[in-house]
Amino acid sequence: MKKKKPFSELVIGIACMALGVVVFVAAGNLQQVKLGIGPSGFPKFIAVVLALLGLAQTATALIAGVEAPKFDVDKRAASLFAAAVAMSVAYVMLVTQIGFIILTPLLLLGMMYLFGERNIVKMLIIAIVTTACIWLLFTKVFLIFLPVGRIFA
Amino acid sequence: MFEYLLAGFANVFQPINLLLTIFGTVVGVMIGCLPGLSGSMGIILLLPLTYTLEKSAALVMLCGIFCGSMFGGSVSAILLRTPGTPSATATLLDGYPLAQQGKAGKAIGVAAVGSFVGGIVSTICLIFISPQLAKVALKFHSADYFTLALFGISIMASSAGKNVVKGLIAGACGLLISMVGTDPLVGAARFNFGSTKMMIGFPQLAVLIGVFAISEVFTQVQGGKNVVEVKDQAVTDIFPTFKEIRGFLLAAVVGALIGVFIGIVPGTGGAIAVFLAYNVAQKISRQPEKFGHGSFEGIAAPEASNNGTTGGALIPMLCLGIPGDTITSVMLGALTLIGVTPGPQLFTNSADIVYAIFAGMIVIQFIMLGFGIVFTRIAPKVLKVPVKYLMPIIMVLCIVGAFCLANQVYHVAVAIAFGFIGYFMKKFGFPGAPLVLGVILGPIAEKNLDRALQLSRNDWTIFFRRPIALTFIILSVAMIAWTIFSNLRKEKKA
Repeated sequence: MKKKKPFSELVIGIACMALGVVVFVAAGNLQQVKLGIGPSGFPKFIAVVLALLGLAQTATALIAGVEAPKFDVDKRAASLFAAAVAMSVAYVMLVTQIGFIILTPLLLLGMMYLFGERNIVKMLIIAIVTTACIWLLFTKVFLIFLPVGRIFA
Repeated sequence: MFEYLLAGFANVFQPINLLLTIFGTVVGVMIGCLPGLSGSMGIILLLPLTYTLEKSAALVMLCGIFCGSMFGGSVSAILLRTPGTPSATATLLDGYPLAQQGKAGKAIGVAAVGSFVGGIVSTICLIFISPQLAKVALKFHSADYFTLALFGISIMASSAGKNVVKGLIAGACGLLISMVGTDPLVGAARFNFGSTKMMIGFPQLAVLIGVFAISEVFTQVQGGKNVVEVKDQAVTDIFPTFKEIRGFLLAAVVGALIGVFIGIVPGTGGAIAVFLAYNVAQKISRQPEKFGHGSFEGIAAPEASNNGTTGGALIPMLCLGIPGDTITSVMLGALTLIGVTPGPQLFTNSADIVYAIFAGMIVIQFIMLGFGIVFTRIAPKVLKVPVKYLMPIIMVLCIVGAFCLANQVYHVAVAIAFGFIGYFMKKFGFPGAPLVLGVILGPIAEKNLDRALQLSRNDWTIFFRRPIALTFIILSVAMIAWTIFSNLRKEKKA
């Protein structure tokens, strides 16, 4: 008996078709030219290709048969991932305000915690030494200025 | 040619450049050795350093990482039965049995010599083939370039995973991503959602940092192995004897030639070459029954072939601007960053850089051999570096690398966003390489499609009337059809 495909395979196919249609319509609002492709030609071309690939993906999933949708998520893994993403996003949002020197050790501490380290002394040493080394290397050797933040500005 | 090559050697042997070449190779070996880290990540991590360096020195350093990581992968394959890079997968078939017999040192020594042979053969091919290919490429029409770009994406999509459609979807998404910002034809704003920041689009290198490096951090945070288990075994008797080298030399040379050939084909790479080389080496061996039980030829052939792909992959990258594999697609981004435009004109406009790379590649092989032997003794300690410290530091280096691209936090945001996307791509079985290649080749494909249609007065048959363009179309279709066919056959067998 043929192995059924996960439900996500069908969703991916439909999403690709939808994306292809959206891009094709959006490209229609761009400038059109008589000779060559202009700004709209290439997006339209790729949108058609993407929609066709989505169709192929959907057809493959339907032919093989799809399993019922499952929502069994490993909660621990998902929360670790979500925390890592949240820390990274927070870093991007705050780095120009707080600065590299303060925020980077905090990110390192948080990340090490997520990776399972619990020895606070080791964590502090690694966070501070790494930040200091990167800061000195970039600002003094490469002469590339990292965000100082409003506190030090 | 030889005067240029000598000038290249003079450049590489300048103290600072030589130091950087050694540094790149050493970093490459160490990164390649750590499972989960690859040569492409090594290049990403050293990107900020390249801005401050002279162009040829930066490129030779990146080549050092490329070659070093190919060899480095074999160390963990032999000691841990976990290949450091996908290109070292075949090495463990005979490397690990040797390690179990207490001959880990000798196995790594054979891998080092095999890698050296592969690197030298591929560099010789690079030196002789690429100028000729560049001459041919000078005659390319825009229609040829457009189909070549599509060929690169389709072949990488079909070789990157089991599901060709997913590979192609990733490639098409990469092309779409490259369209965000300002269009390269008339400079109009396109898909920027009214944001002025997004007028610059998604910077290629930021996308690359996200898909290849940050996504790895997000994946590993979910509970990969925190400490690698390395059995404490004495790594001694490393360098193979002359008699032993004579025994596996033919397998190494054959493996190297296979590697060069596979490396030249855009979108392929070491992971494919190694198994082909292993099979061929077994067929031509006088002792095929030893394969799988600790054969030196079984280590030398795949190791020579994965290092053989290095020079091979550089050929299309330098001559055509089409990367031969994932690492060269990262290198292509780095080239653009330091202001080098790859393509046939590179050989006429910047011959000094090209020949410095050629000379550097030869020097790198000797450094790799020497360091490989030294590294073998400390490898068990390096492999014990805990992921819980390594990954957070890599994350910070990725952030700094993305920031340094243009001193803008926007680039960091793009890198993190693509790290998030890359994580889900992995989760749902989408290969990252075609997406990145799509982002890199998108502008090239668009400009050449436009130019070809302008020249032909909107006649689409231009792509079928030009022999080179038609060849690339046929090859793309054939490659995709072949992959689908062989996947279907495998499914039926299973």
